[in-house]
Amino acid sequence: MIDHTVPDVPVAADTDVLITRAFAAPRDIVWKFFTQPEYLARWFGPATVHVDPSTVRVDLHPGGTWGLDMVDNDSGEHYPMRAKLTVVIPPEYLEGREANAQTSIGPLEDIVLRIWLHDHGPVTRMTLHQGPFTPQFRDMTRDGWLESFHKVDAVLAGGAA
Amino acid sequence: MPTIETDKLSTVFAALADPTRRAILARLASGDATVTELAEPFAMSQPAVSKHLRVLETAGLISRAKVATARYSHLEAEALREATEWMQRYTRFWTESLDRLDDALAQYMEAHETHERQER
Repeated sequence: MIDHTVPDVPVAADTDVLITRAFAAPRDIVWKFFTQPEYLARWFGPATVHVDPSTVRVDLHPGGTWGLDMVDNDSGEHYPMRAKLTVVIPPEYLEGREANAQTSIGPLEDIVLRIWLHDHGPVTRMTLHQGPFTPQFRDMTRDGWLESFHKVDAVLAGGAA
Repeated sequence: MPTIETDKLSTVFAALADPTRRAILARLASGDATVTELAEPFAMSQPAVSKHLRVLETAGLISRAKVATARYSHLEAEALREATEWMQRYTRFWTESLDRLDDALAQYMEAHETHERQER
């Protein structure tokens, strides 16, 4: 059974990331920028990276991949981001996670990313929730977010290339 | 091999994962308190609260000092600040990404509107 109910926005916990933003574009356009590879490639990642468009993969269904490689603007180093989608409710809700991935320094516990898009006509309000961050995940990411993705990918590369 | 700093922050996050311990920290933010005072707002025995205090002390989030016959818990803000800074890195990742999304959407909307005007 697939649950088509959009979950409520959670109350922020100390160990979670919770961000809300408003964008000056209709919801179906913002949805497109999260779920279509050519548009996702235009913005994902912090200021010091860009996305390699050839690496973007979005299989828009539960169990599908949502991933891409970020490339450092200076060094050219690749920082892969790979998530498995768990809930897809166009054009309002997207949920993905890294579930218990085995890594060289231990298991990665669930880290869930959830994105809500709220329709306000010409404006779309987005809520992004990420967490909880467990101590194990903290170990993985002591060198930062990008470094963690790098390590996760090194492990994944052994399996599904 | 994990560094000493990594071990420490892991302990901090494990300590913060519990809502009762977060509530205890929130209470200590307004001043030092004894076990009796800390147990009061919770439906919890003093030994249970003491157990939480030991976890918080091990994580470096509080220190405990004996004053006369009472033992007072004191919030150690530095450990909490380090954990917060780590969380802020994730927030920064998304803030910078979403700034770029904002720009990309603006460009898209502008191109789209220009296109519509030309079609009219």
